[in-house]
Amino acid sequence: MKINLNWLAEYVDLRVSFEELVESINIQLGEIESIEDLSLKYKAPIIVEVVSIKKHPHADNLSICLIDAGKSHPHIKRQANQLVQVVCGASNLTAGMLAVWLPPGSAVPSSLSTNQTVVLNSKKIRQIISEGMLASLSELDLGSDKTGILEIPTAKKQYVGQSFGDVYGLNTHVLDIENKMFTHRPDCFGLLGLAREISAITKSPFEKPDWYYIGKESNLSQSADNKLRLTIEDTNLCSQFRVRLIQNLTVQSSDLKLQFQLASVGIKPINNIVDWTNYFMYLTGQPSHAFDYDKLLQLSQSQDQSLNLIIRETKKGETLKLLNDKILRFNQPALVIATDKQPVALAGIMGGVESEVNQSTTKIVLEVANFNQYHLHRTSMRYGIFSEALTRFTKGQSLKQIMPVSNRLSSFIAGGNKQTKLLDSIYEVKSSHPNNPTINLKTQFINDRLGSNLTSQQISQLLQDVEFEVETRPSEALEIKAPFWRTDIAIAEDIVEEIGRLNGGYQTLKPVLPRRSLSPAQIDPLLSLKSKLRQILASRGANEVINYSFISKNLALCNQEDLRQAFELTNPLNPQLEVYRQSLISSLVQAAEINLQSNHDNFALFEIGCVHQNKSDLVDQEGLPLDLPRLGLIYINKTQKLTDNFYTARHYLDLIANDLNIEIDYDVFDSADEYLYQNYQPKHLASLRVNNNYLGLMGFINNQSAVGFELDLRVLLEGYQKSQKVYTPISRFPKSTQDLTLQVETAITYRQLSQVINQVLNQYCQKGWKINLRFLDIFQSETTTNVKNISFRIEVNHLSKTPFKGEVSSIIKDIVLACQKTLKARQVI
Amino acid sequence: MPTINDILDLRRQFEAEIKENSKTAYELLKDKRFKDLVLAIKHQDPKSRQAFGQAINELKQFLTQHKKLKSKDSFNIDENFDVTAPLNINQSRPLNLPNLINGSVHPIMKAQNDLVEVFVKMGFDVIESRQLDSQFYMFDSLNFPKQHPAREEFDNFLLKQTDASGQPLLAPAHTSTMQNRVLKAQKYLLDEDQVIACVIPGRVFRNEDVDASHDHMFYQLEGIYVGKKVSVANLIATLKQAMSSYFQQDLKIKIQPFYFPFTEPSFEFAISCPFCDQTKTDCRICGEGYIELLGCGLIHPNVLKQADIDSQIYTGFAWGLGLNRLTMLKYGIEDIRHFTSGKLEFLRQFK
Repeated sequence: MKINLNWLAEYVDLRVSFEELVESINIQLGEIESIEDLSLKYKAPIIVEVVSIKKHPHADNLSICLIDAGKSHPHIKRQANQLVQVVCGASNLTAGMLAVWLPPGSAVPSSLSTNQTVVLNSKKIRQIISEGMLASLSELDLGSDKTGILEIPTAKKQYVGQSFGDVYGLNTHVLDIENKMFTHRPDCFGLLGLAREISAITKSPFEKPDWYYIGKESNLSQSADNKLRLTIEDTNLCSQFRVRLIQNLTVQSSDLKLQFQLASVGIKPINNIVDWTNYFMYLTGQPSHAFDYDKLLQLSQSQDQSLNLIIRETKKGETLKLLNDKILRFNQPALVIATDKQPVALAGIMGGVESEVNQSTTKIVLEVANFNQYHLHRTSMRYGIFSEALTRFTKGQSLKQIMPVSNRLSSFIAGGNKQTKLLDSIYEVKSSHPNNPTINLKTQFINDRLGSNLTSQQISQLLQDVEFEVETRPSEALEIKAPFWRTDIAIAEDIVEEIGRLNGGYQTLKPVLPRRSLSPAQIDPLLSLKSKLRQILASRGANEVINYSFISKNLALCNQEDLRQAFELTNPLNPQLEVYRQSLISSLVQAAEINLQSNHDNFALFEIGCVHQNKSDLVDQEGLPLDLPRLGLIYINKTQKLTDNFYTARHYLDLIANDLNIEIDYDVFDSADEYLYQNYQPKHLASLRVNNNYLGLMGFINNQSAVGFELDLRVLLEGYQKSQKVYTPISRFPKSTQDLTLQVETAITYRQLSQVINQVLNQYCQKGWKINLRFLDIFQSETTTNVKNISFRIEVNHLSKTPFKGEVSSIIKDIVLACQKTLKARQVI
Repeated sequence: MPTINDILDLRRQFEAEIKENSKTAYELLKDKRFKDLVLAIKHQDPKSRQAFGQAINELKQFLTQHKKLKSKDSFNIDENFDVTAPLNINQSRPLNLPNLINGSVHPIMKAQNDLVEVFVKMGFDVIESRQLDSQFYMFDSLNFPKQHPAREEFDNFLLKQTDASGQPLLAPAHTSTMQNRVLKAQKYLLDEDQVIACVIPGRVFRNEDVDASHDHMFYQLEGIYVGKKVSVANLIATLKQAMSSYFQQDLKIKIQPFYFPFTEPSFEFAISCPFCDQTKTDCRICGEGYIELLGCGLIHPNVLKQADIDSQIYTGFAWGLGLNRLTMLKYGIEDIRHFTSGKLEFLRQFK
């Protein structure tokens, strides 16, 4: 909402400085987004009289004007009779007219709204000196007209030589307050509402406009003359609709002051009828609309010169051409104002072009009404039509301002021209007015919630400053009634907001830390695990990334994700973001590609995030889909063999297993298992388990020189929570260490071998032996690739004796025998 | 004349053929069935030509992507490669890991972690937010009337899938989507004369065009505190202390009235710039001495009511803080898109 401070001064007699005003608004009303100093544009331009005009000797379309600029800008060169010479090409130049002169040294106002400020100087135009220029409405940044220079009415002749901005009240500031603050404040979408608030927070007197306060309720409904009949089909959609017929009008441009006032707050001046409707909308927040009566008649089937206006929902297939030239075809119901033949306006949003008020109009139907804000909002979203009127209706304007606005607006439109007669026909259909509720509360209620210490008198005063009715009752009780324009006040907490704000703003409250219970804070264990994983991986050279949750269907298909299980967006931002991802690896692959392109050759990227799958068993108690937490890692090293990369990547898993004190079981992926998605080469894929639960997969990424794994963090967490470090007493006896190398066929896996060995060792452990098996390496000679040698170091210890050599040898012997028997292994010595 | 349905049919055939390995994407790109459809674009009715062309283009993209990821060459690993082994054959330690000093935690996660730590010290529990939710939690439970325009202000991503009541699911646009759950789950604490104090970090989504300062996905840290006689003065003190602790300096604050449906009253909370001496000169970050950091307010009685908490007895406050913005301010990061770029040049600066 823009506030022109000169306009504001019509309602508030400000008793604070400009800086204090800005601060108070920021702290007690809403954030000021921008401040525009209009005097930068309008201080320098001067009202002048064009005294004489002669043709430019070297240009057909230019004239040389001598202007009377009074005593302004005395340093600028004067001709005879103190006149200033300006070259001008306008077609509407006449001697004796008043105009606006932009003297040398001043900036063209419209250029100040752009990036390129144009500063005038005295310069020769086709060999004739021109001291600045005469300005058009467009150059003054007050309208779009650039067909000629702006003509100031000759009645203003006394102001010749004075600042244009001073004469028209434009040497002031325009503040723009963020609209979002006023989402719930219908009154603050009008200057009156803002003025009332500003008066209260700056303790400055508020000039109440009497006409706005309802006097007597009008009982008029259908007027007797039958020129117009109103029908509201559904009073849930339109609760009040009031029209007046006004005739003998002359449509023309508004008075310049009105035009400039509107332009200064961003409203485009149109003509004297439309400008007044906009003026009152800006002032009160109540939109209105003027129809051309004769055009409406032509758009109806009426035979008897009487007009039927119907407020109804559209029928399928109807069309309406709006004032912005957009043609709507209604396939979904929208609320319209229609004649008996066709829609003529989109109710509460925008008028139709066929009943538009223009130069030919002499008689208007002036509508002031209220419509269902949700219905209007839906229509606006559906058809993509937005307007200032809509913005205001969707905040819930008070029904009680319809009559005063209608009356005042009609008299302004009629009074603008002395010849106009107000045809006092009022037609109104309305449902009952809801009254604002009475709120009863105690001062304690407010003080508890603010942390303040206000008395009932102080609270009453603050509320009365913004025209609430407050009655104090015994024992600090208050009975509060909001004024009619505050449709947003419904509950006692709303009063708390008013008081906190009006009482100097919230930051004047003394901060007090809340009472704190001494019970220890509970941290989501999954979140703690995630932090731990981050530390483990980052401290070993891996880099954490975050990727989008949404991917394209194409990418999902390429990852062999099942699209039937993908959550899909109905309104994707772009085709790259269509479905929730079902794995982290695919996004990591993309990130890896980017880094490969910038010549990184040894890196690990990881992400800790969620994936989603639409499966009936992946839901919470309420049936809502679960977030499936995952850790994904991709490892690339172009400086070593691809197969070596597999084990380097595995090292990250070893680190995790070690830090979390869990054991990860690596098995060859069996294609019958279907667990995590297969972004991997199905061959040479490891499936990972913790406590026999699927943890995830690790393998070569489809034809990247990369290895990746993706873990189910729920399984990892469960493993972590169950893991127990068991302490075993330290043996008093020395341990014996021996290395063992077993040769097996290349096709035998490490897992097969270690399982056999562990079976043997378990038997010994049960007998009091403490045996630690440590893997050393795998060797293969270049000549015998059909076999490989796997070496271990075995540490043997006993709790109650020193193991002698024969006992250690027999353990080794048992291992070798078992491996020989099941895997045809032989010991290499 | 072929129609869009023919393209979709062909896509299904192609998908099957790729799956059965009977043809590669490379071969399919040169397939006559595909080429015929491409040629048919120019014979399409002008009205449907654009949609037809688009569908062809999508099919082509699908094949190209497949070709890129699936071409058969260069994957040549020994049949007996052992995925269960701790090391490769003849591979020796130490392993050739990336340079250890290059490792990094993502800066947003670092900020999240540091902030969570501050609030845990103050006694707040921590629960992570959800990334997919129902309209009930996102709106109804938070005092957004049905069809209220404020719902659209969040620019939600809606899903094709629906909840049990038939309402489309959505990608939550704020971590407040967790408020009702946390209030309900911890209501028992109030009965035990304790307080509800919880922070909720998480990833949220808004359907906004992406530019240097907006992304469609970002991180928030929600906080709620409910007890007896909890006031605005408590809210101000709590946030002031927490932020001063996070930035390790005594901050001044500025509070501006605001509007949220789920708090009453509502504010925007700004802190004195921790990166300059607030002399309003040429600070690259604040410009004017203060930084708007978060939205907050007293929890609306209707929100408490939705969790069966009596708003006459209990009151509380809540806030939502944007972690992306905080992180950008802290490091002077100029473009929000760097966060999701995955570029090592960016990531490795946050060791």
